[in-house]
This record gives sequence, structure tokens and C-alpha cells, in this order.
Amino acid sequence: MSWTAIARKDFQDAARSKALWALTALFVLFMAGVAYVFTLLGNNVGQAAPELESVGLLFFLISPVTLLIPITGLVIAHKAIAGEVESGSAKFLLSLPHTRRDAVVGKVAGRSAVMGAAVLVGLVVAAVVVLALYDSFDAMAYLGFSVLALMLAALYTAIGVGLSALTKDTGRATILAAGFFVVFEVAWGLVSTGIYYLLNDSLGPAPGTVPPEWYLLLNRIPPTSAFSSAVFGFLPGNAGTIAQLFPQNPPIYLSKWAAVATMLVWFVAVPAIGYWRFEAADL
Amino acid sequence: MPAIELHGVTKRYGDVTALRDLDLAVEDGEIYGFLGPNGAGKSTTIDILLDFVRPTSGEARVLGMDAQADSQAIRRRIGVLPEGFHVYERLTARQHLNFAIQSKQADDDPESLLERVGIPDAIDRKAGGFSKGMQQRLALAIALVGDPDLLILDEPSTGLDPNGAREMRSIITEEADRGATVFFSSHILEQVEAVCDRVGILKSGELVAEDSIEALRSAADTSTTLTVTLDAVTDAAVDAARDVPGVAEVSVDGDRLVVRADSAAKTDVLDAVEDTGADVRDFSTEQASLDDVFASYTEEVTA
Repeated sequence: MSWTAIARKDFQDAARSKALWALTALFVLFMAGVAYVFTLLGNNVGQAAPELESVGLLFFLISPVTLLIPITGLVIAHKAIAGEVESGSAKFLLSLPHTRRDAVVGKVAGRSAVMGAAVLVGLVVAAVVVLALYDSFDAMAYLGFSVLALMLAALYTAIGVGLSALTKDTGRATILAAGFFVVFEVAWGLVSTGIYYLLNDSLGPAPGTVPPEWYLLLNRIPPTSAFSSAVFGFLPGNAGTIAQLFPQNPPIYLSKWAAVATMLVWFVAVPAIGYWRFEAADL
Repeated sequence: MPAIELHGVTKRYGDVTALRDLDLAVEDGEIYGFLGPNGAGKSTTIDILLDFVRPTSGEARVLGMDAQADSQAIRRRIGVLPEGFHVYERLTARQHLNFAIQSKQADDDPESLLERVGIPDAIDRKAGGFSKGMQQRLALAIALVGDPDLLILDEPSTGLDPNGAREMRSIITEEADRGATVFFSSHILEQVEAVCDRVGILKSGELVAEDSIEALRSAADTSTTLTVTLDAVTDAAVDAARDVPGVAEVSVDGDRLVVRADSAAKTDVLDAVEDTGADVRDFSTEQASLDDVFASYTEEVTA
């Protein structure tokens, strides 16, 4: 269990940095701010349902959360290993009886705790705003959303740590993190469109038709897509594409649990690849 | 059982060979000075012992265990002062030590460790504000955690003033008296001279000399330069000097004969030269220092 000592040290280190406090302030301002802004929007737009519902807020939060969490997660984690190797503090860490696997696991745990703490404080403050200003508060839905948001925070931190274990150079680590974000979060639509084009000679399923299942699955691979799919699946009100296409029983690999499983795979796979390279490297 | 054993260790980085078929044995309980100029391969050797770097070929064993396969078990029983390390800038000295103590499941007291290395007042200060010398002392305190069986110290005097270097040496001696083996590298001979039982001299990835300090010192003693000033240097005088047993080299510098020889041969040389009829006006001898011996092993020989 030597990774726990590394995780604790990493958390202490981060807790003393201004970055953690800035990050927490960012999430508080952002979550509570959106919760408040949504009351203004709800009053104007929601003529059909003038009641302010917390579930509506949660769906509204999806797109900004899926931008903010990946970016902050990658920013605080992408130098975790490469930075220590580059500066020479890894020589302290690894001359103590820690394996390189302990180092990767400990860093994932420590940095995820930092990220998770910031996100959690933001969610709690937003809940206070909701309780004060909203007509209803669906505690279970809010809790479910919070768990998934914390999972997203942990998984993006893990991805950052995993990428940072691939290289000894922090500049390269930054490029890897940015590249990951661009491929999976910005340009993924092009990837799935491209594959669809190669197979069907058209740029995507025609509106109103049921897209092939592999195409739906492909679109759910990026971490934040898996997150949104899980949020749509678990929250009340069949709002997601899958629920509309498959009102009865969606295929197992398009289910909400498959979305959660995708998140878990990301959480494990990238650090595992990073560890595999880090283990073989000369420091 | 040797504390450190290297058998035929070679390490190549691309075209560059950092270590070439290195054999080395450090006996249990001794203080071994690992000497060599910068770039000789000292840090690479230490990196291999710690499994930071994997040898291209050969085998390294530490405390009887395989340096690669049993690295974690090895690192539980050794203390390391790495070269080119970097402290965690936001953590205090106490947090650094607590991390090392937890990692080694030891029960040392951070305050008494810092007391020992001479910076007890810095315990709750962030290490980022430490001078290089203080960082070096903190690193030594970390190396001492858990009373290790073997201390590996890479250039431990880096950043220390003469006083700090002396304190470092007395801690090394204390640790050896406790029964620990000490392996430390340096590019400066006088730092190892005072404390080491044995030294190895590394040059371009090869061990060029390995002996006790006494033996190296006597090697220095046997190498004396005798300068004899004559009224006139004749071929006969040069030949006579060259024929004396124990003389390694004779050269002529104006009206002076420069003779490199065992110190015991000094008077024989003077007698031999005078026997040729030359008039010795003056002579002086110069004893090689230990530094000269070190330099003779590590510097390129100019032919």
C-alpha cells in the first residue's frame, strides 16, 4: 500500500499550492453561477413549465461541465510524472521503496482527490443555491449527477497522469494532453463521420432514420460522451438519443451501464498504458 | 557477502557507452569511495544500483538481491542521497521526512534527524526556500531514515561549504561505526581520502584503479621527481642516471636533469651522476601528492 504515502504527499503538495484554491474557486463560481443564471433563464424561457426544476439544471450543466472538467483535469495532472522526472524530485520518490506502479497509482489518487475536492465543493455550493431558489430539488438525481461528475473528474485526472507517464519532458506532456483533448473532445465527430462516410458514402445517417448501432456506440467512446450518456441514462425524463431510439430495451452496449463501464475503462486504460511505458524507461 | 556487486555491467545510450564491462565489489561494512571525473559513469552506476536505469548487459546485485527484480526490497534497506535531485518546493522539511519515514515504515523522529544534519530550525519551512547546502543536508537526513544497511551517496558534498563537508564526513563515519556500508561518489579526492577504506577510480566507464587509500598513497610515495642541476649536462650523466634501478624516466631541461624515480633511488641517482665527473650544483625532489596519483589515472596521457 505504498501508493497511499505518495497520494498523501501529492495531495499535501497540491493543497499548499494556490492552484487548488483557484480551482476550487473556479468550480464554486461556475456551478453556483450556472445554478443562479438558470433561474433567470427558466423564468423567461420556460413558459410551458414555469416551475424551476433541479433536474432541468442538471441537463443544462452537462455541456459546460464536459468542457471545464476535462480541461482542468488535464491541466493539473499532465505534468504529474513527467514534471517529477524532469525536475529530479522523482529521484527522491523512487529512491524510497516505491515501485513505479505505486508512483502512477499514488499520483492518480492524489491528484484525483485534489480535483474531486474542488468539484465537490462546487456541487455542494450549487446545491445550496438550488435549495434556496428552486421550486423542487430532486436529491437522488442531484446525487447521481454529482457521482458521475466526480467520476469524470477522476477519470480525466487519471488520463492526465497516464499521459504524463509516457514522457520525461513536460513540454511533450503538454502536447500529449492537448492532442488527447483535440482528438477525443473536439474532433471526434470528424472521426465517426469519416468512418461512416467510408462505409456508406454519406456523411451521416439521414434525419429521421435510425443510425446503425455501431455508429451510436462510436459516438459514445470519448470520455465526456460516455459521461453525458450516463447522465441521460440515469436521470429521470428519457431525454437522451438512446432513450428516444430504443424506448424499450436498448442494446446492452448502448445502456447506461455500458456508459459507466466506458468511463471506468478510460480511468484504468490510459494510466495503464502510461505505466507500461514508464516502467520500461531509463530515468 | 558483498553489499554491492557488479558483474560485467555495460550501459549504452545509443552510440555512447557510459559503462564498459564494469566489475565492482563493495564489501559489507566498508566505506568505499567511488572516484572519477565528471562524466566518467559514476551516476550511471548508481542509477543502475537503484534501478533508475537498466544495464545493456551484465548483472548488478545490492545486499545480495538483484538490482532490477528486487529493487523495492533493496530500497527498503538502503538510504540514498541522489545527485541532481530536486526537493518538493511546497513541502516543509518535516513533510519530506514524514514522507520518507512512512515510505520506509520507519519510526524516526524528524526533529532529531534534522538536528543530526545541522538544520533543526528549518523543520517547518518550505524546502523551496532552502539554499543548495540546506537542500543537501535535508537530502542526507532523508537518506538516514530507517537506519539503512547501505548508504549510497552521490556527490554528497555538492553545495556544502568546507564546514558542511566536514560534518558530512563525520556523519559518514558515524554510520559506518553503526555497521552500515557506505558507498559514495565524488570527483574530488580529498573528500574520500579522509574517510574511505577503499577507493575505486572510474574513467570513461571503466574502473582504472581500485585499492586502499594506503596503497594509493604508497604509489604516490614511490613516484618522486628529482631535479638535478649540473655544471654541464653530458650524455654520460644522462645514461648513468637512466641505468640506476628504480628510475622510470630521465629528461633534460637546459642544465638540469629531470628524473622520475622511486624515492629510494634518489641518492643512487646523485651518486651515479657524480661518478661521471659532473658537478652537482643543486638538486631538489618533489613528492607526488595523492591528487597527482588520481590525476595520473583520470587524465588523458599525453604521449
